[in-house]
Amino acid sequence: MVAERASTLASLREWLWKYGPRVFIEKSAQKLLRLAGLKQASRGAPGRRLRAAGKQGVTPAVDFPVRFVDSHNSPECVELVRSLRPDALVLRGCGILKQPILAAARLGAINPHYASLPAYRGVDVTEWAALHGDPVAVSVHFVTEQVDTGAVIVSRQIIVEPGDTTGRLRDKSAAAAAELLAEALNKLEAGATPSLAAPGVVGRQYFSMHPRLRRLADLRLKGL
Amino acid sequence: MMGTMKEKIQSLPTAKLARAGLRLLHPSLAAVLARDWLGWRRRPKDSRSHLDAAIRWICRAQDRSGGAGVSAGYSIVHGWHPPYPETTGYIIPTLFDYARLTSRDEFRDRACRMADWELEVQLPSGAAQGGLYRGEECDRQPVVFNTGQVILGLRRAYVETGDQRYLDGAERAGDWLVSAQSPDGSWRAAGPETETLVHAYDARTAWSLLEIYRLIPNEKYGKAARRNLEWTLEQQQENGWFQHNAFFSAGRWKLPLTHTIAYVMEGLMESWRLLGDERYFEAARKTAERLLRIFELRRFMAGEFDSSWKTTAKYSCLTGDAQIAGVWLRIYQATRDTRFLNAALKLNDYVKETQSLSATHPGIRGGVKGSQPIFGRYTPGVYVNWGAKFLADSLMLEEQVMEEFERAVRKGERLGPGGLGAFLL
Repeated sequence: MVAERASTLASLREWLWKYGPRVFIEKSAQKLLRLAGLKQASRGAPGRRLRAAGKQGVTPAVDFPVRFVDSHNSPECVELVRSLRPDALVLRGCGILKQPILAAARLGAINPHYASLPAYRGVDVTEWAALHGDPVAVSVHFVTEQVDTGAVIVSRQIIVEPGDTTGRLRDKSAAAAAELLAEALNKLEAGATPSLAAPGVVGRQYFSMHPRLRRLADLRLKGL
Repeated sequence: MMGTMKEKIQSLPTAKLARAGLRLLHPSLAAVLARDWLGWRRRPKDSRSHLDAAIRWICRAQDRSGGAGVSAGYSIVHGWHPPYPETTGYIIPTLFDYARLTSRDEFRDRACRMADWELEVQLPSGAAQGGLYRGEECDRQPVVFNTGQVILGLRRAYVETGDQRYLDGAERAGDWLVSAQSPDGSWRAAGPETETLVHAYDARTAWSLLEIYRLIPNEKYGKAARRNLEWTLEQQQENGWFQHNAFFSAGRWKLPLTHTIAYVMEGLMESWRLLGDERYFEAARKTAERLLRIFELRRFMAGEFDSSWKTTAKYSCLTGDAQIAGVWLRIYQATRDTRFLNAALKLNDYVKETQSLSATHPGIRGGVKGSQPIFGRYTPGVYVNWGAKFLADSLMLEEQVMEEFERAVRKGERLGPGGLGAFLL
């Protein structure tokens, strides 16, 4: 795993300037808690090992090293990833990646996205689909330099049940994403090309949802 | 005689300095300065509370300048400014809207007093003067944009009251605008407030002519408006930015503020509403989309942008923010693209976070600063009446839109893009 090392001082300065002291204190506290649980390794060197017990019968237990870089787009990161000779990159919670890092793996980079593509690109897409009354889905797609515009490899609709909230749908989507990632990697390993056509830049890019609209998304789910 | 002596003493620089110093000692002002310096914003309350506070601030600004025209604003250094004909003009529709929302005649009466005052201070040519009104004897130059904004107020006062005087005043102003127009459709005239002579934001002036044209079907108003709107479209770059849209051609204000960018979008949107020409809507949407992307990605709306939408500004122009939120809400109404509604809610929240609802100082409570932080480049240190006006407009529209939106959600309607036809006259 290659994770970005957040520059603590830069983050603190940005939070203070952008959000003011109250949010600054909240975010700093969160950061301290996170740091207490995750000891960062020195630049480019192997860090702590990540161990995760697999879901019984679904995914195997994993145990692999974590390496930290300043930025996923940095030459240091590109060099590191190339030296690992990966078949594919699996992205989780990354920013926009540039071509050098995307081209570092033989089969490309893939990413799970919690909505249908290309209709719902961007962030908070589970909430946006729920708000609009559209099906909620998870897609695994190839990553390009543009936001969520790569070809879709696999996708699955999430069943919305009475009592679901947007938070609950996100949990369901996360579970589905783990399975779909494995499915997508198997497909790539088997040499399958994406069955769905590349969507190109169509659909809409959504941004973080305002709390008032988020409440209405939950209200709509409640009424189902 | 005593009055004259008192005025002489008050006009001494040391006396002015002392008064400014005393003003700054007020705890509310100290709190504002400290908050802005630390970047500490308030948690926004419900929109209605912020709307009520903005309107009460406007009422105080009106009372401070004799109960007719509205004081341009409260300066933390100079105190309350004299009344401002241009902005009083476009505050009139805001107060009529608020009177309708609250079913309170007090605000209707206030709007009528503003309209009466506009007629009193209207220049013999029919134009409105530029700058603040400091009395009959002071230099009063006619200004195109200001005249257009006064027309919007007089026209609304006529529609609300049926009083012919208001329509006559609007007609005189409209005639002056038509006579002052250049053959290419722009207005090129020097004014006391700007160094530049020609402005894309005169799209709002064109809108005012269209409003007269609805009441007085004389082709000259419609033709003059269209000529200007066509000229405005020519000023738009492929990336949505408008040329000729700044107050100055060099120095500190050579870049368009979000305030003037929003003026152009407003003029185009309202002209589209009245004429149904979708080119005006598309031009406004192109700019609005660009601003939406900038705001969503940076989570901040800078106060000014250059021709490639770059900026180094660390301040936000709060009036421009409220105006842009209002434009986004109108685009949402026309297209049902919820991204515009979402961005408008966030940008309105940003302005609400800068508005104090609890300050004890009457110039601060409910007021909207020119810039955030207060010493940003646009009207530093001043709470401006047009900021309160555009925030009130935007919040009234927000509440209306959100009511409709919630109703649609409760009914289980699918929310998505729709046609533009429903919003045309």
